[in-house]
Amino acid sequence: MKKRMLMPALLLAMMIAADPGHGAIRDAGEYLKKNVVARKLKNGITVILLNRGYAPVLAFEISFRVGSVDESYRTIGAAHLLEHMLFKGTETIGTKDWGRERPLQARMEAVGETIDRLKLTDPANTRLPALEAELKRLQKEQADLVVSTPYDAIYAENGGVGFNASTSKDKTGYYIELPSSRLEMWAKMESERLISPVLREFYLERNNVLQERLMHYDSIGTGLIYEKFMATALMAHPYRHPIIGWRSNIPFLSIEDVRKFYRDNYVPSRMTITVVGMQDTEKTFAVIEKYFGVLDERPDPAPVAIGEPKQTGERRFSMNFEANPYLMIGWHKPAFPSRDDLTCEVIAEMLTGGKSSRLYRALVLEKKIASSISAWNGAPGSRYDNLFVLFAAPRPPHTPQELERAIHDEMSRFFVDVSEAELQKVINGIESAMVFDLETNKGIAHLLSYYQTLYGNWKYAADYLAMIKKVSMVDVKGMKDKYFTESNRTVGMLLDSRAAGGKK
Amino acid sequence: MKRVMTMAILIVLALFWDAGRPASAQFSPDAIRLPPVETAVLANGIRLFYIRDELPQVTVMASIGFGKLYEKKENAGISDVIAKAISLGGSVNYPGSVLHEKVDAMGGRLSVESSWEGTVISLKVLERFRGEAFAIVADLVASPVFDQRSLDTAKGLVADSIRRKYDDPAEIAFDRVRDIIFGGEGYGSSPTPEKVAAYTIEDVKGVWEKYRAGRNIMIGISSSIGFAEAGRLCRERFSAIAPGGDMAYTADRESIRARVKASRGKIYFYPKDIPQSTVIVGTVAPEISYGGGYALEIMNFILGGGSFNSRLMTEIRVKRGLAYAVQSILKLRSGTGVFLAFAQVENRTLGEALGLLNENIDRISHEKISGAEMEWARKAITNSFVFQFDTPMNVLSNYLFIAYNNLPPDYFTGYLGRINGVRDGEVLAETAKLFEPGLVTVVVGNESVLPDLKKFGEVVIIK
Repeated sequence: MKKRMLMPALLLAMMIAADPGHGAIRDAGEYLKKNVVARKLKNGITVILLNRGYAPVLAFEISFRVGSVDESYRTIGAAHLLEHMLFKGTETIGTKDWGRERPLQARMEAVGETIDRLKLTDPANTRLPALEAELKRLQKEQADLVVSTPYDAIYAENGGVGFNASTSKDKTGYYIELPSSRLEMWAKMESERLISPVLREFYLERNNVLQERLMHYDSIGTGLIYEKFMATALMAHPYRHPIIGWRSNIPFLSIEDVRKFYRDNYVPSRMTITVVGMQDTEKTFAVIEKYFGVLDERPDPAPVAIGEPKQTGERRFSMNFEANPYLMIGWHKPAFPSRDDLTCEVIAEMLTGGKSSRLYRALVLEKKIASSISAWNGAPGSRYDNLFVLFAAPRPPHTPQELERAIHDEMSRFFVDVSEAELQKVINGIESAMVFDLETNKGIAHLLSYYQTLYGNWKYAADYLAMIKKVSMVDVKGMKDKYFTESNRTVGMLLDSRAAGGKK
Repeated sequence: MKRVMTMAILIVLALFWDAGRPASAQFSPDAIRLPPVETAVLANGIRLFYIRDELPQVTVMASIGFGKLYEKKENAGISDVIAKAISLGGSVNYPGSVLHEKVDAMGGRLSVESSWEGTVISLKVLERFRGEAFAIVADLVASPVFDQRSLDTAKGLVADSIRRKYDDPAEIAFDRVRDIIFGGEGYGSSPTPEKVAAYTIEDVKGVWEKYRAGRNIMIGISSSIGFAEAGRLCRERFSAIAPGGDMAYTADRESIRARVKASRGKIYFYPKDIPQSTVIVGTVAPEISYGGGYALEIMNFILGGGSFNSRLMTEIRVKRGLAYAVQSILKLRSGTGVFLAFAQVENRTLGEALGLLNENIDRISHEKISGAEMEWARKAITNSFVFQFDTPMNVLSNYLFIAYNNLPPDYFTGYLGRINGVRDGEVLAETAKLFEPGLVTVVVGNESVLPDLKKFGEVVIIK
């Protein structure tokens, strides 16, 4: 060692002082239990806070226990479109003059709803061209009064990153990371955003959603097979609907239905606010209470009443598209936090978690019949009973049919000779993952928010390893006859339309 | 260890938001004190970068200077094959199945990937497995097996990933436009399944042995264990690797510019029977040490890189509802760079979207950006800068980035000063220079768009 320049002790001490958890974290679950602060506002909103890190930044997540599962047939896609619309501002944000804009907005909605109705019921109606011209004129007039994407402009200027939102089957979340000093600005903006949204630029945004659908589903083979798979495996439960909506219904989603969906479902009791990063949690809570405490308490919407009937025979489909072949196999099973769901989670890891896992080793490395294989325990959502699904890509020249047979063979073998060592490997993997998941503010915020929003208890994030450790070999083997049966199974195959000499 | 030079670097980086500038809202300045990155150089030239992590975990990351940017036409795709072969075949002491079993039993996360600049072998484990992590990564670097069986599997998987990449129209568009701009080399490296299938053990061994040289390797460690122990483990495990100089890739900028110029007025069309088209335009950009790069960063932020308020997003998505995905990308690297802008739109509106892409690029090349827009971009870049340092891994990555690109030590500490020092006229001048050779245009979509495309120039079918 030639040269060593040690940092001044004082500065080192300052750095450590700025990092409340430095060197202290030994157990991920205990760390969370000790440091997370969770409270409820009087109106029912749950607030989860965690002070951590050395950088003066915060990750914010606002989540609602509302997703596409809460839609009716009429409103398929409404949860996602509403999420897009909540970027459009309020009566004071995103407008140059709401007084002048309001009548334009009202007329535009009336014209737009009429156009949609006529297109569905009387597409040859002679009023349509004039109405469409009027809508365009109104959009042009409104554009002069609108400050487009208003939140984004303000957040970007204030150093915000990752300003985004997402809609799943179960939940809708709004995210951003900001310097800690912008806490109050965030609270003011977000509370106003949720209290009085204006659904301006609705018809343009609805078309953007259609473009999003074309991009993720209609132009991609794996997107199409996923959608068809869920609609086949689930015949009654609303999990069968695509989150984004169908290509046919998106152009007719009604602004009034979207607004009603907002009113009915964006209620404080279904809302979780999570803030993770360098902060004084008492101060953060006070700021949140000041701005979000004014949201009106409203009745909780009714839970989904439709249950998926028991599957009584294998379902199977194939589809053709200009894409390489793909295979999906799924089985119905219960949702978290049932013991069976945790057991299926263990099975998913045993089968496809890592290169030494059963299916990866056998099908990708040894038989070379697949180029990828993965499992998703909990598809397509986790609030209601769901599916254990295998996703696999056959490796040329092997076909999806050959791959399917090989998977069934391996699965049969697995339930016979699965070992304690495989179980221990899964436990070790989850123990590690719980530590690895604590790396970023955003990751932690998402984890805590997920369990609180979906299941009403963020502590599942801390107790997860202990819950997994209760799964036994008897539990694992018991899943074979309980769920992994032929009659409880759905199989979908994507076939390359080019292989048969053209599109089918 | 024959010679180790360690240097404890303490960066106390004070970032002042909105300092001296009128802001839409007034806030107190914030400051950030970063955890120190300590560095050392092993006797064989391997550079070591260490940062302490509060979590009880250890990440050992070895970056070997050979990635896709190093590839020429004759060895396109070989970096991916090498990475895959190492991850499957393992090393002398940790051969394939032993390696996989060991990593999974520890609950570790092993990644062997070919990036643009390097082949990166990274293993993250809980602190109690630190010894194993250093041993495994070092053995994978020093003694990969490269046996026929794992090489064949690796080639098969890489070939299939290339085929599957062509299932995604956006991937096709990005791949084709880079191929045309960079002539199938470096940024434009465009392997085919057939090309990949032809590589032999000698080919991959030859590349690995050439580039796996002391000075061409950087080790990054993010860990709850101290620097002393991390350094000791590194010396124990990595000192046997042969020394050697760092090896940079080359890019012939003049011929690349000439290729872009020759593509002016042409629309390269890749037919795919889908309801949505992807349109992408691009050109070669300057290298990272170029002084005008800061002006271009601001330009790109305003044009299409900076959120929903960028010009392309506003004109194509927000005002007209034509696309969900619209963006521009500017990436400056050592010796080369690339600018790309793209949109994914319904086939029937492709012409309108392409017109808007061209019109906005033309406008920003010829009209001075308004003061308000400049101010917004500067503030956004300045105020979000802290997020490049918000985790130990991000801080460490930035040090590796500086070292790899031979950038001055004040590259990050002086970054905001240089961004804020960009003059308005400079943005216009640099933008005009960037787009002077013209743009390569690629469209992936249904043949129904051909009549629209012909209005923009000569259509060249490239499938």
